[in-house]
Amino acid sequence: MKTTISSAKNPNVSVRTARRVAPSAARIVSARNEIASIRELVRTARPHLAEVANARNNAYLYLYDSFVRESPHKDVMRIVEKRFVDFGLSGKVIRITPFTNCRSLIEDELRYGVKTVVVVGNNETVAKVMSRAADLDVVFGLIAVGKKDNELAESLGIPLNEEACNTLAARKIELVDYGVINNQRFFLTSIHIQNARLRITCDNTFVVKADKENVELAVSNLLPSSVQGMTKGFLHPQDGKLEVIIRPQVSGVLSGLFNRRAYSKPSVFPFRRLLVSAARPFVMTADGRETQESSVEITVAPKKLKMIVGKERRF
Amino acid sequence: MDKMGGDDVETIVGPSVRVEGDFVSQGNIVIEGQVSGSIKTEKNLRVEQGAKIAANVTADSALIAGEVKGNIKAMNTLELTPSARVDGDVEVKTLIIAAGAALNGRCIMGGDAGLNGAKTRVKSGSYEDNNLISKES
Repeated sequence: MKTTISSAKNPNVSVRTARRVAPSAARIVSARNEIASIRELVRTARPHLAEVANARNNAYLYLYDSFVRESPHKDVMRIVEKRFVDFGLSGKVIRITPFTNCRSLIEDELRYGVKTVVVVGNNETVAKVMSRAADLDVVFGLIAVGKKDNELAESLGIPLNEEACNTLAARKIELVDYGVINNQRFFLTSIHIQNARLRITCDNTFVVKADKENVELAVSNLLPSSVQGMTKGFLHPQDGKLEVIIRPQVSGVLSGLFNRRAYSKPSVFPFRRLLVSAARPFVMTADGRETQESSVEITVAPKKLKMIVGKERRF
Repeated sequence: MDKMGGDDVETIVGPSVRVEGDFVSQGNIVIEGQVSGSIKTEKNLRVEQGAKIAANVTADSALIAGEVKGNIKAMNTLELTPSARVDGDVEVKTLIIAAGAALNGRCIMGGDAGLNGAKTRVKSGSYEDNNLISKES
């Protein structure tokens, strides 16, 4: 009131006051504007931030085999999952069953930003996933659980159980070859055909014939072949070729007496395309899965599979 | 050739196996069985005793202990062991023939595997050129 009276009496006083207050008012206005623009920025950025957080969480997809939740592995999995969180490797977990279509499952998750698919299980789990999904454009990792059937992890230099999380976090990616059977399904480790009368053609250029009718045939990639005497060496999963090992059966008196199969020294041929056919259907084991075949075409997809590997890998 | 073994070996043709066709490899080859057609490798070839080859052979270096019916072209060394028998022309930089080895064919030798080398007719282990190295086994 005083001011009003004084200003009414003296107009210079109100001008002075106005001059003194004006900069503060301008500052307040600009601050308000600034706050408003920040609010607007936050409002517009919020969905994107959520998207980024979502994508980050979904960068990893974990495919659990059903056995990993069972009693001997429960404690290991608890530690493994704790490490996923500690290392910032959290992601979506899906439990796969024998009826799970891994290909369509991974394809769906790729749409939501999945960059890495981690198979949690053993050799059989890897075969289950890779037989249909090896050609997808995604990085594959492996957490090998348990102590049995984990030769593939050993070959890739991945330690077993919770120690595998360190390898996963280190994220050393190597491009490796995988095999294609009849242009339909894939294999990573090996193929085995036990004693059949086979016609074998390599790379469409030469035919391999055995003196004896029955031969044992093995194709190796990420695991050495099961053929006796060939379990070491011959592991070149980055050379763009697969190796076929052929061992003709030898008929002898002793082998007949003791019902034991005897074989002559094995032959090894690297190839890009292998045709195996027989007059009668034969049993073929690819990555541990048995099928009945009469003609098989095996080709190689050179360095197409992105795999997280460890320092101790065998190639 | 001595280094060829273990993991260096890429292709092995076992003793009871026959290969028919054009056999091309980028790695070392060991042949203990039979091959007919042609053999070509950028690395070393070893033909073991008892092996039979009816093919033209091209390799970086070759060690022959078995039978070869066909021409051999080796960019570097061709070594014939006492049990070796070669029926065909050879074109090599350096030739090593052990006593007892048989070579029936024309021999072209020199720095560029015969391009500028001397031509020599060799029969059953005898030799007429200074580039030939006699090896007592």
